[in-house]
Amino acid sequence: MSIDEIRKTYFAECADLLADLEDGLFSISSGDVDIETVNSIFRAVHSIKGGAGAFGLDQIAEFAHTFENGLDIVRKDISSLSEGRVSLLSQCADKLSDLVSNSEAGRPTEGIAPLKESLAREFSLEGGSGGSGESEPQAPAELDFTPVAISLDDLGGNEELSGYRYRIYFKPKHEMYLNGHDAQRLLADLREMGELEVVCDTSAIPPLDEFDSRASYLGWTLNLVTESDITEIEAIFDWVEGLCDLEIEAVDDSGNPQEMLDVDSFFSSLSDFDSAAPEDEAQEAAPGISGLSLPAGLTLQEDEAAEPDDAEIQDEAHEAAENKAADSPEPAAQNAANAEGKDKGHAKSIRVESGKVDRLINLMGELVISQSMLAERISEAGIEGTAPSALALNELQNLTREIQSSVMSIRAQPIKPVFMRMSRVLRETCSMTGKKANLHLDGEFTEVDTTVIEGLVDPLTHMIRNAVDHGIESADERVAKGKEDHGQVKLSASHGSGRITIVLSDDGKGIDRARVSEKARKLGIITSSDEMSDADIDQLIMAPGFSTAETISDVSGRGVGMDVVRQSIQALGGRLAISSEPGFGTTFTISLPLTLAILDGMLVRSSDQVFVLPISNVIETLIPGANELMSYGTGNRCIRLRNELVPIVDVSNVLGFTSQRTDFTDCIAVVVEGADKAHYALILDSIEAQQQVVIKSLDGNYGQGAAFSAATILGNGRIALILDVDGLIASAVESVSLPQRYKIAV
Amino acid sequence: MNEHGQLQEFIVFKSGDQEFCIDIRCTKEIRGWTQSTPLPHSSEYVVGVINLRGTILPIVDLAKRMGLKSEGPSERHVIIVVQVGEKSFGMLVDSVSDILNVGPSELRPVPDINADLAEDMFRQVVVLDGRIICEITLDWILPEIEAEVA
Repeated sequence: MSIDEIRKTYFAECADLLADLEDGLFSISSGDVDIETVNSIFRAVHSIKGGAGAFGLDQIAEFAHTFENGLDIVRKDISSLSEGRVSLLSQCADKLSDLVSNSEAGRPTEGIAPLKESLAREFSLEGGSGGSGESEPQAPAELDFTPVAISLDDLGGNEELSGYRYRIYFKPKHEMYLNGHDAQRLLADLREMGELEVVCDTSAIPPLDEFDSRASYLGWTLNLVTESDITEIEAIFDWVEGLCDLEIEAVDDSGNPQEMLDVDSFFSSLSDFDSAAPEDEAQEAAPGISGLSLPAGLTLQEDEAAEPDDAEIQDEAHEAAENKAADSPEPAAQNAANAEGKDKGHAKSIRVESGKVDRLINLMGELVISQSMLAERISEAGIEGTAPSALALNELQNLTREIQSSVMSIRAQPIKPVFMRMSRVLRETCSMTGKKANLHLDGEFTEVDTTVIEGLVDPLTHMIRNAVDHGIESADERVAKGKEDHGQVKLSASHGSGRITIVLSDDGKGIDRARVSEKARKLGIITSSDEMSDADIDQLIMAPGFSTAETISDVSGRGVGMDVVRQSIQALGGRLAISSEPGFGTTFTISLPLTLAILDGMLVRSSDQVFVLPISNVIETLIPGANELMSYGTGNRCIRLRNELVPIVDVSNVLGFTSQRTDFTDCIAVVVEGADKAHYALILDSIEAQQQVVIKSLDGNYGQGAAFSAATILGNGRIALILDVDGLIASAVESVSLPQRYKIAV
Repeated sequence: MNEHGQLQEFIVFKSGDQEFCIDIRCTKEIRGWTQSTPLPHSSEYVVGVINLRGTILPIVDLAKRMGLKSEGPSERHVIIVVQVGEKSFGMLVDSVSDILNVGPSELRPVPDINADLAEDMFRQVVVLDGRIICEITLDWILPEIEAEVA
């Protein structure tokens, strides 16, 4: 792995971390303040900083550091988190995100210093950097030794503690660590039994230059007050029997031992010592007994067990064990366990290159095609549906379906990241326009195909900007109208009937229909004679080149906005609908297909060609009877369907293959729902089958046609076009005089 | 292409009773005629689309594209699959006849006679052994994106 690749990984991780950061800040700003959220933000910033330091991205590291210090203060006192602070933190998160993306692209980032200053001011950080030791987890010395002086006299006074007193001398041998035992754990077990005093015997530690990191130097003298008897204490040391020097003795209440040093243990510590530094044997062995000359900087406490009354003993229990018993693998393992604990709640995931998934999906598509070929061959061979081979095919079909849905679910991602980006867009737009608005999210865990997610960012950004710029009124205006000063923008996503619905609504002033139609006339989009319903006028804002904004602002108003939004949503196979209530706001509804790769289709035949009609469009099919057909205008007909008159769309004519049909005796009508929710009857020759088809884009080698959205490959290897119902209806409106009002709607 | 004086290879084919050629490096494969699926509302010269191992390939009737008389697709016709930039498409031609190795001296610019059309249609002219063969500009054939949304 080259450094560049590692760098790439870092930026990929940054993206995830920034998403976490954004996520956390969003829940805080929606009033959901808890310490875990603050911690997760802190961790995200910290990880970004750590990586930045490693790659020499000093600007990121420095900024993240200041940011982190601010967060640390919040972390210590969560109640200090005012609205102003949340907004400042959000700004910092945005800036950090800019910094990361700019660094990735090798561009400089502006405006860091002022933010750093505001951070320093808000959180009274010294000089905008530095900070407390705790926010410096990278600092080498996290060994918080707090020397506690304990006079053993106190022990004698601690008479309220009932039970026996034991003095335990415990000195692990090197082998004990090799076998994976941990002294710390044993001490912890002892502590559970009662009151434990730990005195570390560091006398065996050699001068630093002779220090062997793998050797065992430490021993402990333990004073235990417990109700348990000696066998229970021995039981704790069962597993390390023979791997350590151990002496357990009962002592009297005054704390005085009956015996003092165990000579054997001293000699064995000497032998350890010898093996570590054999050449200095003679020199070092002697001071090992009589009192060590200590290297500077190491605070060692000789165990003066013979005169406990004089001894001021440092309790170095855990840290000492962790940091000095160097051959113990435990600390690392424990850190890993901690990290795991932090991450629990997140599903385990792996990072896969999206190209691999795409390939899998393409193969899946080929599999579906081959399967339908097989099915066709089997039926051609005249094999009955109950024959074993047909049953086996059935089984295969079930499996394929299941594999397909699993493969598709790999691509499906929660829409959340996009929604999170929108909260930033809203914030930025608000600060640009000076308006106030809150974003409410709903259904952010709705899973959507990745391609759709990527394609949604731009249109949603436009729409959010529009909602704030054109929809939401300024705070004063809102108050005057009796609304809250903060505008409410709602963004929600949900699944339903094979499609995903995304709704964006605001509680602003709604569409000013008088102005819209006036503007449209001026721009020549409509003529003054056109009769427009309210809904038609609302649709006008999506007409190309339309903008009512009086001045072109930075935010929106170049007149490309809604037209581009509509086009990009159509490119995703989706539809966009608007509804607006003057004075109460506007609602945009985006309806998107669940997946872009495979659809359930109805194979239909028209003028000898097979077409695919997406099942999701089909409402019902019928054979029109002569008395159900009615004419209006010249040659236009509709079908009377129960109490509804449904206009007829002659597919073969609309596609330009035949002239308009006059004979309706040998045809079939498929009733579909158009984008405007109205029903249309598509006239076709016959319905062939119903099957899953793989969507193949025509865009690559040929443009998209008006009446068809894509194509697929049938079981016989031929290509069938997938009809785009809305496009088909729109073409019908163009070529045949269906009611005019649909012209703009589609 | 020929600035280094190297030989250039051209594939020669017949369309509408005339000979044309294209640079062989643009050719991906040559295949027999298969039934195509017509595209509604497409230009007259777009025969339709075929399935080329999972890719959807538009087919252009070269004779019709150049305004020559076309006999329409039949079993005897051949499809030359070509790639231009990112896009690929098939050219329906009568038959493939030859592969020529041509040196720089045998290449001529398109004669400045027949107005703009010929200039767009042809890149250069190969003059070899008394034959005159025009090299077709593939960019020109490529069907435009016909997304004229209604």
